[in-house]
Amino acid sequence: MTLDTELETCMAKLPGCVRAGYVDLESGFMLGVKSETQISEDDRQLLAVAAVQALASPAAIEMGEALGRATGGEPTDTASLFGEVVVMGKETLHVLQRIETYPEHALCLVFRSDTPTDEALSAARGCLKRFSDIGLH
Amino acid sequence: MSAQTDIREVLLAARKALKPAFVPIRTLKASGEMDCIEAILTEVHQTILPRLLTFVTMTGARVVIFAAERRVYSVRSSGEGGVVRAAPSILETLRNFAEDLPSVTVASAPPPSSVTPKGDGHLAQDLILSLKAPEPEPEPEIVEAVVEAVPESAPAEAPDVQDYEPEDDIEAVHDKISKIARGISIRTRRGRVSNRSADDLIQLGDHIKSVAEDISDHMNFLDEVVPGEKLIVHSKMEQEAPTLAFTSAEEKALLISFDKENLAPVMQAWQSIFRSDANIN
Repeated sequence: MTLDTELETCMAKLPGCVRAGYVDLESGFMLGVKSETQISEDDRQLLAVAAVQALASPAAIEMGEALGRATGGEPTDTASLFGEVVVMGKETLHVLQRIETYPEHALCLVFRSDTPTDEALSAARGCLKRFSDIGLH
Repeated sequence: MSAQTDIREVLLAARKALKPAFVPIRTLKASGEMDCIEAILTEVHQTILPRLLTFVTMTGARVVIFAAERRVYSVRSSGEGGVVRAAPSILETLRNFAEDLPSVTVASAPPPSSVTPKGDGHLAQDLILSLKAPEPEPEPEIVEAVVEAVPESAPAEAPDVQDYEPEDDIEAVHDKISKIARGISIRTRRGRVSNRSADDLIQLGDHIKSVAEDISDHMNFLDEVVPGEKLIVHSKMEQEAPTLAFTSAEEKALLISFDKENLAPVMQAWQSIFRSDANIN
């Protein structure tokens, strides 16, 4: 099972999903991407950097720790991390998720904005679980 | 070579390339507050390639300057100021920092690839000249933040930020999602915070003051990927943790705290508010 095959399978199972990518958050590299339409190098990089910014930027880490402190928790390595970031725009719904078994990797899914949010989220979580289980890292 | 091995090798090579081999630490020579600020800005003046310059005093106070091409792009302090970009705020932050003399060390390191210059920055030499100039006009940074937040398609008559009352929005939003949200907080870019319900969110509102600039950065950056108004939901790794949501709608940040299991209903509820707002605009 290769990363490309897995992304393809993932997209086929996600209604409304137009793009799926796999990013290493430490290096910012897009390790694999599948898209309904042709994707330019700039778009690949933009999606990868968006994932890094949303999940692993100093701002995101700081907000995660603030949320932990505000709710009485002690920030720890993984507990203070944001694991799932959803960006709902007028034309797209981005779901960016850390892989549970390897939090330095993230799955990036782009849906059409008319996709029902709950369907997109539950399907995306199912897909994420598969990536966690097969251990592409 | 299998895909797994392939990926691992690419990652190892990338990480090796990203790690700085050596970060030199030096001590700045400065005999007073003004002297110290000038010494810091001189360091910036000598910086051409993008660098994060970290200055630390003996008492542990710290400022990190993102510098490139002899310019200051942002300053983050270890105090409550957060990230600042406007020239008066930069000088104010440096003044507060320089109070902790006598000894200041500096370390210079390349920034992560995700850190890139925003705006034109400020020439270090101009900032040094400003040190001796009269006090500048207050709060140009707020004006800048409001302008950045207005979408290109927005009508010319943007709402007057000073007339905006967060309580109005809180009531409307709270009515719609009160059964599933632990609490709601709205923060304007002028710094006013209003909260409803959960105690934890009231505390969170206080913490958010210190990371508000980061939220703005977040929104500004995501504009490139998802243009226009958007709702951004951050959900933590733990199953039980409350989730944070905020919107880029014009001049305010809306924060909603709720349990992860309610993510989908909260987003659906918000979608109706969000879409109707979008239609009005």
